[in-house]
Amino acid sequence: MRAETAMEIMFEFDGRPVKAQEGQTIGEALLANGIATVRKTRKGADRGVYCAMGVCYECRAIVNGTPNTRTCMTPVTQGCKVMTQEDARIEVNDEQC
Amino acid sequence: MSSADVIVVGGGPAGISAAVEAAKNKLSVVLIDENTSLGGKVFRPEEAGAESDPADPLAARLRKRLFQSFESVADGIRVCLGSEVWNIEGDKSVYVYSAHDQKTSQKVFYGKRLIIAPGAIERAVPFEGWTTPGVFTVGGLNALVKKKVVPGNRILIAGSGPLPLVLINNLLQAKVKISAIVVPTSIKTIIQKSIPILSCAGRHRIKQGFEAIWRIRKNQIPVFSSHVIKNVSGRHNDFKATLVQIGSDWKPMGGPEKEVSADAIAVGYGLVPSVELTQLAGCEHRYDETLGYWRAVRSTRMETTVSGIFVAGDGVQVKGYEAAVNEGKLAGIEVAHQLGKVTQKDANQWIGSLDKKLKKMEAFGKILDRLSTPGPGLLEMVPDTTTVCRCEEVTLGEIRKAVGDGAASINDIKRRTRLGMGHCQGKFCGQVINELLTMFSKETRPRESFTPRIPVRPVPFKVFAG
Repeated sequence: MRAETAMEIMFEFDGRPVKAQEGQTIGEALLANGIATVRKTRKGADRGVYCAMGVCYECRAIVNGTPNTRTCMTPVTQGCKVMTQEDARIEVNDEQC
Repeated sequence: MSSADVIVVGGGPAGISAAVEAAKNKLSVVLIDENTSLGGKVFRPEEAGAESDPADPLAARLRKRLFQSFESVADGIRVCLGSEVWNIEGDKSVYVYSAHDQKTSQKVFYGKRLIIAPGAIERAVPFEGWTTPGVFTVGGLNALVKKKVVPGNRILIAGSGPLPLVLINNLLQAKVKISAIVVPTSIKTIIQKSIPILSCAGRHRIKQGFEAIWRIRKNQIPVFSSHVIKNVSGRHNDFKATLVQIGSDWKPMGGPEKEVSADAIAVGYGLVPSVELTQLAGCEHRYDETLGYWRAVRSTRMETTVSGIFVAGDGVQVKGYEAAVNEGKLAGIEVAHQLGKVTQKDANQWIGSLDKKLKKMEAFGKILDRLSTPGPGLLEMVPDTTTVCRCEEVTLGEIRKAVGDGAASINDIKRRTRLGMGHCQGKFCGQVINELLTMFSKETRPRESFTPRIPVRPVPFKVFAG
């Protein structure tokens, strides 16, 4: 029922404006817009949402500057900036262990 | 460090139910979940148009009842959402990290008792193309569909277990075209193995099963029984899946391959308990050959081999949400009894009546597990080029080479190839690595699991070190 009243918000993916519904995760909002790839592995392969429940960590992207953010677990917010994560580039500064 | 009588890890059906029962009995409770809302996978809230499965009124009813009783005792429960548990120690201290909330970003909770209710994850078997975006686990795609996000117009569903039926129902409800359903078992086997279900499933489950079959026929969805997906080529919105016919051991029959087009693909082979937290806490686990997974050893009162640490729900044996609610309740009552809030007599009486219900649900879960566990043939058809460890991009060929070079244990394969060392910590590759080691070394070995190491979830170095 709340689907009709959910607020439309805008965020950015790789610099492009994308529409989303409030309450969606970033991964859901991207898939609703036909975008399935959010990360490139070290070998250059595409990755996107796979398990959609925070287990597989495949849908990691750079969200507001923070790499390795699971887009399937992170709510989309007005104006947030999401970038495709290129593992080969970010791992130099990777602070995750 | 914050202290409480009980710490419950996991806010799904089992965890909420355990927290409610403990709080009802005047115990102080901390309930921790990594999601931004309570409910777990099945009882997820109706945010942004998400619906509880319309084809499953029982789930909706149980969910409503559980949340109502939660509200009535909510004052006694401290809820920590968006919080990941990255370490549990045998003395019942729980280390939590939250990326969302700077205040609780690093915390240690200590409980007199600990109830772990981590739920289950999907059983996945690698195939060529399974890492391509647009290929999902069945539960993963179902979670999206429940939030009204359908990544394509033609969906291919393959695999075993109860989740494909749930996904089919939800897709049909959303009027999405299902291009085909691929089922590894023959219809004859499904019927044969399902007969015992009639005595333990309950009327609503049997009705649901028949309704699903009726819907599949009415919508004229092609069903490939005794088939599996061998590989997937192409990309999101333009996939081609190759299907092969298999026998009862899941080995290819050598018949002609078939091709199905789809926009998105969901593949899964049932569920396996998430055992990393109970393993980390030092609880004893055994591999159950008939169920096809590791499970924590526990008493009839849900207590593990580590005194004071309990485990409830699908995180120990997959039986579904109804059993999870009852197990959580049972664990909550036993904890209240151990802490002197419930008399021995009352506890025995409560637990006795719950036990009876649980026995039936356990039989039901076991039948589903047996129907969903893959046979050996499925891994034998995977080519050397296929990625097995998705995180570290380790291929089947690299594992074959490591075993050929002398790797004699799964931890040895891990050291040589980095398999299981990535972000997910071996949750998917760990499900098949024993089988691969046996297959390549041609020796039967005692089954191992990866040595549990902290942090079980990737956390920033400052949290781990601090």
